[in-house]
Amino acid sequence: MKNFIIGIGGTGAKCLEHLLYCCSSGLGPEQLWAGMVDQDEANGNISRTKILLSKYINIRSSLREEGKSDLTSDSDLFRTLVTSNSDSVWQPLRGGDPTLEEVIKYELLKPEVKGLVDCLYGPEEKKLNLSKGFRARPNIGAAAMLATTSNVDDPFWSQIYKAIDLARGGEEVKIFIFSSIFGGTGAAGFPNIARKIRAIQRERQVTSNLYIGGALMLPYFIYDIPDENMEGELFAKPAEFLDQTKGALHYYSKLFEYDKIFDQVYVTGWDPLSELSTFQPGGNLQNNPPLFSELYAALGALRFFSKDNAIGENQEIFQIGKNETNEILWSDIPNVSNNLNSKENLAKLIRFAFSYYWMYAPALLGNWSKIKKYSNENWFKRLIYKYTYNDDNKQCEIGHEYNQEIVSSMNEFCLDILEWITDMHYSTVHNTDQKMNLILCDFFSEYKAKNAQNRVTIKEKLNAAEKKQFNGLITDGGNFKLLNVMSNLCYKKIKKDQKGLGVFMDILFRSCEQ
Amino acid sequence: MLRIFKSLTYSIIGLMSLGWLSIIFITSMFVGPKDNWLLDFFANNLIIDEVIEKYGQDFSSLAEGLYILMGTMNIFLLVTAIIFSLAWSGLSHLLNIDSPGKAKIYSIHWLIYTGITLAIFVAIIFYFTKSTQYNAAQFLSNGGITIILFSQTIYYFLIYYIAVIVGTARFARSSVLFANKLPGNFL
Repeated sequence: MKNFIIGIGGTGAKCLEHLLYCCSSGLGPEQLWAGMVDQDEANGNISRTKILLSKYINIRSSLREEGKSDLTSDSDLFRTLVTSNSDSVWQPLRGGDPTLEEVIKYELLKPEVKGLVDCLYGPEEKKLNLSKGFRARPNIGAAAMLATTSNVDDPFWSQIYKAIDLARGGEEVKIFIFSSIFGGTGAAGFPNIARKIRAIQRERQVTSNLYIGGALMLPYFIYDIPDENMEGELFAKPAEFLDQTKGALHYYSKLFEYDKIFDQVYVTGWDPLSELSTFQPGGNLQNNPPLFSELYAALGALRFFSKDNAIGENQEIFQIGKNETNEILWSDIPNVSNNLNSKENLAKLIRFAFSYYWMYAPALLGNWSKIKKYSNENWFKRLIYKYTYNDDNKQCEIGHEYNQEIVSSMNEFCLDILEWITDMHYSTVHNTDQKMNLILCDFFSEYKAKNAQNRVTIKEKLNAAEKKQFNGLITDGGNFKLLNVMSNLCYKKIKKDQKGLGVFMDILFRSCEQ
Repeated sequence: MLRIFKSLTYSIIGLMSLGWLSIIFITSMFVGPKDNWLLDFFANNLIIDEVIEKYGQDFSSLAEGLYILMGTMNIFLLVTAIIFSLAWSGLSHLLNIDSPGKAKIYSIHWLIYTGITLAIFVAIIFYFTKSTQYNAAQFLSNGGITIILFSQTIYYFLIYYIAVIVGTARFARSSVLFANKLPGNFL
């Protein structure tokens, strides 16, 4: 089975971000190709996911290197083999500062077609600089996307062609699309990219084995628009979200009625809407926080990819929401399948990030003369010394560049995990009556809602009293202490064929399971 | 909890490695004196002959009391060694060793604990050899008391130490002298 995921627009990228964290916790499928679609390639949300994607791919490959550091296929940590193109983002319109006029070659159109275009698009829309996306104008985005060709030579589309060829060869192929319904790029891309895929499928006469799923994000956040310097600017206005959603849903319902584009659609939203404290119309400064409802979309995608998911003949639409109180609880997080407990894996990942970032990485970073003071400790002897010992030069090579790179990139990834969950924890409920009751994070982080580039600051070091609060990190009423992690590290059975630092990473991850 | 039980089991195995000797010794003490090398050893090394003569006693009537003294004292020493080693093995799982480098801090705790254990061994030996609770005690020579003190303390400390080394939680081994020399996956 081959799986493909496409995140369209800023929301799509953010859902993909959640999905990558879920995959690192072992909730993902065996394999996944990931790509993004956005005209605004410099967008902060897109770049954040792009960086995360490359971090995931790099760290996974360095921890699945046979003979060196190997977690082996038995490990849940970074279980999913995620691949991507060298440039993971597909920009529908190439070239500097494209406008709709240029894309549809307005000047070359016949007068009657020009008239039609004039009816559909205002003068400012035709001349809108699309380098920063479609600015909540799905009508522009749709026209622009349909005007581009789905060329087999294009790295993005070549993957889709490959997927369809695989389906023709008898392999089951699943493609999933993340998108928002109320923005520009997402709303334009969601049906159109799926339709393009179906068109290629028809063109290649593939009648089975190809399934398309999608997560459609209904409005789930709003923001305040600053008064100054926004006159004449085109951008997504929160006040228009509901109208846009209504229109889009009406359009989709008609579309789905006559054409089975999607096999499964997962719909989610949020009420009351999460309030973002910062606003940027686009570009690298638009760095929106990860929000809880995006996690639903990610889990929807994982459910779609799950082997247990039986896809029927008829198009299915799933909706999900949390419990009716103002509290967001672990019980609001659905399982991916009967065998994959989302809460367990995510809690394990968060505990892993905490204990690795503050407890074990500081002990493992540096040269041997610094690290050797731990060499007599059981966890080190058992999981590090033995597996990084070089028989030829009779040395433990944990301080060597190769191992240090793995230790520090995992450290960085763990910091990302902590920032992600903390940012989601604070931002989802900021300025609302809701209460997030998933983790306890105020003792290790600081939140500044207005600081879009650095909303969350994670403490570099924790004191003894703060470390002690680890037992309440996951707010599920459990009492899992750092002592339990240490104990598990020393007693958990090492899996066969694991090598190098893969042994320690896997055991630490498993040690974080309550 | 399972790990604590495992530790206790290993600790019991450690106790048995030398403890069987103690049980044989205690049993033979309660069976009573027999004409063998042990009786000779007691007569030649532990007893002051002059005092026996002074009180007009013969060694054979004194030996019975001495055997009971030695037997009872060894029971107390063995029980102490068992209690203290099992208690450490169990409690070592509860020491707050939650991060790298922290186990060493608990070596102070282990040293104090072991010091207390040793002190109790010495106190028990002194109680039996110096008090008037047992009549046979007054016939023990100073040299004999010294032999008993050193041999019994060293022997029961070894029993305790072996039991503690194999019974201590893996993550707490750095706090026990030389326990960290054990292979990582041992026990």
